[in-house]
Amino acid sequence: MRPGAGTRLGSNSQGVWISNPNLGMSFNHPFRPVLVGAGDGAGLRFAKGVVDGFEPLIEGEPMSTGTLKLTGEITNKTKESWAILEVTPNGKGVLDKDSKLKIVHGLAPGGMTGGTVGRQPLALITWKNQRPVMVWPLVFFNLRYVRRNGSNTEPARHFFL
Amino acid sequence: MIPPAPVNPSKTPTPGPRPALRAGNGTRILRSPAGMAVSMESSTWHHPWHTTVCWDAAQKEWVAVVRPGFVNGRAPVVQTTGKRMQSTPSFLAPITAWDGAADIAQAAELASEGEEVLDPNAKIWVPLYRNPLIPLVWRDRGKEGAPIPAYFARRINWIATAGREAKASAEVWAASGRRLFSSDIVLHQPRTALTSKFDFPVDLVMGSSIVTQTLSMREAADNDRLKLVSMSEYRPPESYSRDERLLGVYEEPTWDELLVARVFLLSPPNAEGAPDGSWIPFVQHYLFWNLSWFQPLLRKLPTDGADVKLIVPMAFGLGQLVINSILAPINDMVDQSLNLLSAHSLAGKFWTATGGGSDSAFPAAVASKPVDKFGLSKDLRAKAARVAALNEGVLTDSLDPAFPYRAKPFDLSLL
Repeated sequence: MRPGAGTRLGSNSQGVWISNPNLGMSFNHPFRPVLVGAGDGAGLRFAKGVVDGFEPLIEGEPMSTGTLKLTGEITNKTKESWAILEVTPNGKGVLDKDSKLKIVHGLAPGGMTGGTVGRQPLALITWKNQRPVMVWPLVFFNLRYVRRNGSNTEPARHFFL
Repeated sequence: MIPPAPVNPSKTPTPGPRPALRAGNGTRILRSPAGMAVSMESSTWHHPWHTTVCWDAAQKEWVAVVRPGFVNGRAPVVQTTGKRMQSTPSFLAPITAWDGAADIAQAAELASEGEEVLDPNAKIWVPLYRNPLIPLVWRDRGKEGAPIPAYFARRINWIATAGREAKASAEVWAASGRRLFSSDIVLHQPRTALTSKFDFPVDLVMGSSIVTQTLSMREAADNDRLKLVSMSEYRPPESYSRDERLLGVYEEPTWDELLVARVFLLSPPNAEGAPDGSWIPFVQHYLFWNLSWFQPLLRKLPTDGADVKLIVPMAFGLGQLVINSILAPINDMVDQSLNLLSAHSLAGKFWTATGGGSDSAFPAAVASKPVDKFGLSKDLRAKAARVAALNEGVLTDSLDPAFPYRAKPFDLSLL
């Protein structure tokens, strides 16, 4: 096999690989997820994104430097899991510097109603044999959060615009 | 196509479908029954819902593959058969990620492990990220009298005049002897629907009737799910007239739908019969970004005013004065009934989270004036001509707007 124009071949114990320059095909958008590591060290890293100007945390670290560990058994039938953004606004339903913004790993993408926490799925992870195979970005832009307060007859609604 | 075994003869061939070929930077490896295929990622980033159309020579039909898009983080499914997923030579199973998977070698290895065995005759639902082939249902636009988009007449004339003239007219199209088919790919989201029923128990003795309006809910079918379907022509849910809403039973559909893409097939000149591989496909996208979807909550209905009571005179035309005096309150009650239907509609809303609040429209390319403060400018004139041509869709190979495309705005009524 010979490399053609704009192509690069490589070889290692795993086999042969073929590479091609990116030529700008990547869209390095906010909240862009990347699978990293393998086995017990498998995780997800993100490009920096903000919600109302605030950067969420992963395990207490800013999301742009932290790694979301992909651990636990994937028990759902579709073998899917999600990286979910969770925000806890202040009493007025507004995010401020004291609000909690974090990214967690879960087996459901989360709903928009009820409770005091707003949830937005950021990435879908597909699994095989209890190992992550692919990650799909769900959000491409920085976000804005709005809450409609609940009442006696209606639960609160959490929207990411 | 590269068969797996000969790629790296220095290695002991790995049994089974495990690939001996790895995808490097900007490369994608696909597997089919005929072997491995290596494709270079194009220089253009493809948005969610990006649709590719290809001719399936084995099945002798045109099929579409839609790049995964998501609604509330979930992938729609496509109904297909095990035979189509496994046996058609055109089936390409992705063993590397489209984008974002750093450890591509690991992904390739995992994807090749423990391939599931599918019953060839079974109908199965396949999530969009597994790239199921979508058979397309066609509409002959010329035969059915559907309008021919000006893009195609302009394009044909542009080709005929070697790029000198971009003229769109019915004559240009008719003289070309070409045919145009179209097929719509639609996103289907099941939901609970509102129903309304009016009862008119007529009382001939008293000459009046009590009209009762009852609102209730109807659930979607148990087997209905978030899916993509192909249809010859997408029609938005019927908009019921005022009278239709007020007479008898009014039912919302138990689903929300959005047009994802419209696929066109342009024939060679003077083509006859069904489309084959010689036709040229074009795709016009209507969705470009992942979606959020929310269904309004059914509010607790007020006990007063939920039933609209109308007193209708039965004077056989003799009591016109009475009728006139009573018409105004009747109209008020009719409006109240219509408002009740609108206020309690359970139609869901789609939007894309763009960070732009309620306005998700991106600025469009605006043709500038070819003059500056010093008068006619050569640069500005060239730019204006370029933007005008782009807006006309003449110079592009796409029916789509330029990046960043369009996004569904957030509906403020949800707040």
